[in-house]
Amino acid sequence: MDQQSGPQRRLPSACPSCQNRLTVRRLECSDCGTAVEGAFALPVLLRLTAEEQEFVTRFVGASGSLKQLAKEYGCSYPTVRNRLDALIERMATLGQDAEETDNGNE
Amino acid sequence: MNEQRGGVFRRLFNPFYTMAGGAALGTGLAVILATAFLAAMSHSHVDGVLDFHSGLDAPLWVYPFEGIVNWLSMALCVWAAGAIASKSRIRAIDVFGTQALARWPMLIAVVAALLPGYTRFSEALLTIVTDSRFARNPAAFGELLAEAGVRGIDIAMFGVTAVAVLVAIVWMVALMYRAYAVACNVRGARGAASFIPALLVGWVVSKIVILAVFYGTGALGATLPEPGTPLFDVGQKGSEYASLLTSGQFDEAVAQFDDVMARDIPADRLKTLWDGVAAPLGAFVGHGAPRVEQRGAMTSVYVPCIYETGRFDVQIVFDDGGKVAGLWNKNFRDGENNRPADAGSGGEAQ
Repeated sequence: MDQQSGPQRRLPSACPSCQNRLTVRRLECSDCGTAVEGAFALPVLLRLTAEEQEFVTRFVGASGSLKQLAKEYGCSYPTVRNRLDALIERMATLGQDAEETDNGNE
Repeated sequence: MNEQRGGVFRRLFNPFYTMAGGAALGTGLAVILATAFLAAMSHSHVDGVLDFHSGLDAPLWVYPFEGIVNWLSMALCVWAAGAIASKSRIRAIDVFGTQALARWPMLIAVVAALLPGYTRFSEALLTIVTDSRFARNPAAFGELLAEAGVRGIDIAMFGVTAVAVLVAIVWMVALMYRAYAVACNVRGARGAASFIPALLVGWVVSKIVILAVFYGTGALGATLPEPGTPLFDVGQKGSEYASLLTSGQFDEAVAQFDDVMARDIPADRLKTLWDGVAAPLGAFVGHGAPRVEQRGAMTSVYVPCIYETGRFDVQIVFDDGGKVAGLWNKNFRDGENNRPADAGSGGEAQ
């Protein structure tokens, strides 16, 4: 399948086999073919679900206004606020996991 | 955010997903006022966060006052609970708005209370439980209902309304919890553990405020008595009791005796005592104004009884529960020995 067309792929963050955290081993330039191999941790933002990433994108697009975001989603202010609080907690947990893994690798 | 079930189900059981803040507050207050208006039509009272009672007529301002007090009591308690239990920043407008909107199921209760059979049965019930015939013979309840003009369809309507009120209250409590969970971002065990005390405190506060205002203003036809005074109009009660005696209703008179009096003075002995005083004076003319004396927990009412050829005062002693603990007149005579007799232990010679 042509890599430039076809169905949109989403970057997985968890192993489909054992659900453990995935790391990036190889990055490749699509222009000159240069490849870089190593062990790169996925940033926290990329480890969020698609829905969570969309929320973050919309939040930034609304200049951080929860009121604006509530209007876009068609729900109430506290519903959006609660969603943001849950996301903050999740990102803190993912960040802690990443730190523990990095400390373990050292 | 598509994890919530949409449509009608969500609007009924979690309207706060889409409505909070000022919009919820405006809608909720409109619902509270509509509930008050409909409640006034059926004399129904939402006289506490979790209460619903019917039958008592009241000035129009009472009904919205009850609704506003219930809303504010609950909102303030939930706000305090959220401040303690939640890790999120809470907006007061969300708390007050969602708690106002959560009271909408009471509309179901007040609409159901408009059923004519419910009103008829409720009023009959209030009359029957204070009827001395029911006190003497509870099995006469059916006869008394029929006498009051209550039909089977009225009882059915009462049943329907009772179920509707119960459903409305349960639904409202569920919505109040959901409102708290959304506005304060508290769920699960922490949410339940903080909501239940808030609900109980809110309920108690609402009852205290509503009763204090009603008794303080006499809005429901009663005012708080001075400490130590009996919780009933003794003068009126004394006059009514004397009427039983002068009209020969000795069975009804004995029904209001306390345990000691009832044991010692059966109806036939009371008749003998009374007729011994009243019969020589001719036909009964009327009662004079009662005079009340308070001694400790006992209240004496002196009721002038005026007859064709004479008059006498009968002293009726009430205990603090409204029972007759003593009955005295200086001319009462023991039928066998013709010595002075007092009907009871609470009287004193005049």
